[in-house]
Amino acid sequence: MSGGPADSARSGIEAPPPVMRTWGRLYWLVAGLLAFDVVAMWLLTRWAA
Amino acid sequence: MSLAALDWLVLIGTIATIVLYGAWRSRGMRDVNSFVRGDALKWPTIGLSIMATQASAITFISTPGQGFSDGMRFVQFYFGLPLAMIVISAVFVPVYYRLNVRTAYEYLEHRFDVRVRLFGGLLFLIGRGLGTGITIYAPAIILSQILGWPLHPTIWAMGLVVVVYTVLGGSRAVSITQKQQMIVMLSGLAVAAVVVIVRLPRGVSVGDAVSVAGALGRMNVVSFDLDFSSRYNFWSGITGGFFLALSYFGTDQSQVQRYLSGSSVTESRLGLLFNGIFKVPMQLLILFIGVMVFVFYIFTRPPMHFDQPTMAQVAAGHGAEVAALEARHDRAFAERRDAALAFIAARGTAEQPAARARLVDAEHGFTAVHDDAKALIKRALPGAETRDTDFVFLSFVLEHLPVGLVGLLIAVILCAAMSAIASGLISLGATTVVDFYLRLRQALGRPPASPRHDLRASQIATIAWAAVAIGFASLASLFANLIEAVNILGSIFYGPILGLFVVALFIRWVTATPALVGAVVAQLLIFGLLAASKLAFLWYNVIGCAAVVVVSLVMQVFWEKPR
Repeated sequence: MSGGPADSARSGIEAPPPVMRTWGRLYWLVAGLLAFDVVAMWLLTRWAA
Repeated sequence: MSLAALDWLVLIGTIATIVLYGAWRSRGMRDVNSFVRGDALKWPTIGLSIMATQASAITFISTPGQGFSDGMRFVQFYFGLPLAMIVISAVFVPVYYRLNVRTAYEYLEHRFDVRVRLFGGLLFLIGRGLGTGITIYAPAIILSQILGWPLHPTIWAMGLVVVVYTVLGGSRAVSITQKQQMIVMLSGLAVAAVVVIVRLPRGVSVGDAVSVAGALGRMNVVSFDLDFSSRYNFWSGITGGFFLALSYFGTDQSQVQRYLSGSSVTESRLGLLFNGIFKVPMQLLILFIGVMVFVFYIFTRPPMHFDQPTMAQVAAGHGAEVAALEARHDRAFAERRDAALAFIAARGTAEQPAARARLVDAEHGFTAVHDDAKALIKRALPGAETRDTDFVFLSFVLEHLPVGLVGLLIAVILCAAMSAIASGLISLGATTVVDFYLRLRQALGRPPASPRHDLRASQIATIAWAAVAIGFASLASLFANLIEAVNILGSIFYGPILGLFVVALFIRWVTATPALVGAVVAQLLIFGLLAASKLAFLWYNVIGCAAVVVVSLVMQVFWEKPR
């Protein structure tokens, strides 16, 4: 199979993200936001209890 | 209950605008690739499309009801999702792009052989085919019961509208309409959140409402207790939720097709990470709306049972018992309302613990009447469903939202249904044609057909699956507990499919035959567990995946030499 946008995308597989410079940093940001969500929700649970 | 003319106008206008815009933007399909992939979409469209695919109508009907009855702990079920998005973005997406695949199962042939590809594709077709039928049936049955719409025409209308734009516009139409649908859904949610807060009694602030909800166990958002008997806690969410999300987003064609529509790896990855960031807050908001509806009904008299059509049937034959229950319900409501107001007045004072105890007692009294109402339904109508949580949010919308906004919220539910149905249908059509029809032609040595022929085959396969799903949805009322049955069916197939992909991606020295045997054995094991054990069905995902890995490793060691 050939043709289509995925061909032109092949060279872009290792392209950096538009923000945060590396994918690793962006992944840490997503994980960090999850941790922030969990802590915020835990504090909400404690406050409302 | 019927809709006002303005609600109909908003409802039909919203749906028609989205469908026509999607069809117009996606005109000009040339071949099967443009039908299956959609091509060249940017990350906001991909991200919203991924979210819309997962958010079925049940999300907007049942989840607020879950917040209402069980509190917010269900949000923990989604804690594994952002981590799964990271793994799929880092591992799955580059592989799919590098091999230029159109379906997830095409990758299995690249990695193993055609037998494994067909087996994976077959498991997907069975599970998703049944699931799409229920995606049509579940909202139709609730809308028909509450709004009095005829069930079968509702099913057919929903299915037909979706199949028209899906077949005419392909994956691009699905993604573009999902983007608009998701915008409508998020707007509707925001409106519902504002209305329920504004409708709280004068003098009751959001802080007071949250405090009352907390006293009555509805603000149980996060629990770090390692309790295996508890369905939702941090640990089950971060592990079980991770496996489920990895399987669903990484190997289910209805999701894989969404992010393979990206114009580049970067766009696909960003779309997935967008979902990873916003999914948990979105679910939190939906559950919070349910909790605020719960508090709203502490101060505004709720129906004794939210499934009012069923309650009316009971009243027809047991009028005196229903009247007696209604009188108890009135007293219990007044006692709980007064206790809640006293609790709010006592916040921050020495009287707070006593006021809290009184409120909790009043809640027990209120719940006892509701339980008695359910027992009466069970006695009067032995086959009827006694749970009413699925009716809570729609009842609130219909009875307490202003005219016009009711139409918007019904549009939200229909948009959610249509977006999930469209993803299901187009993924079924794509898998049927790409993994079976075109592959079979190739195996038989037939020359490649024209692009138009392949496009037609894809469209016909999608229509055929729509007919299957609509037919299944039309027959669904013949079966009891069908929704639960199909949820179990989904979990039966997800584990072995995920296991195949885990072996393919992470255990490079396992070859085709051990992997295939591992998947078949795992599938049989799950069938055996289903027949002979009372194991909670969510565990099938983990056990099925683990069984494929273990059996294929053992097979590889004993029957085939490692590569």
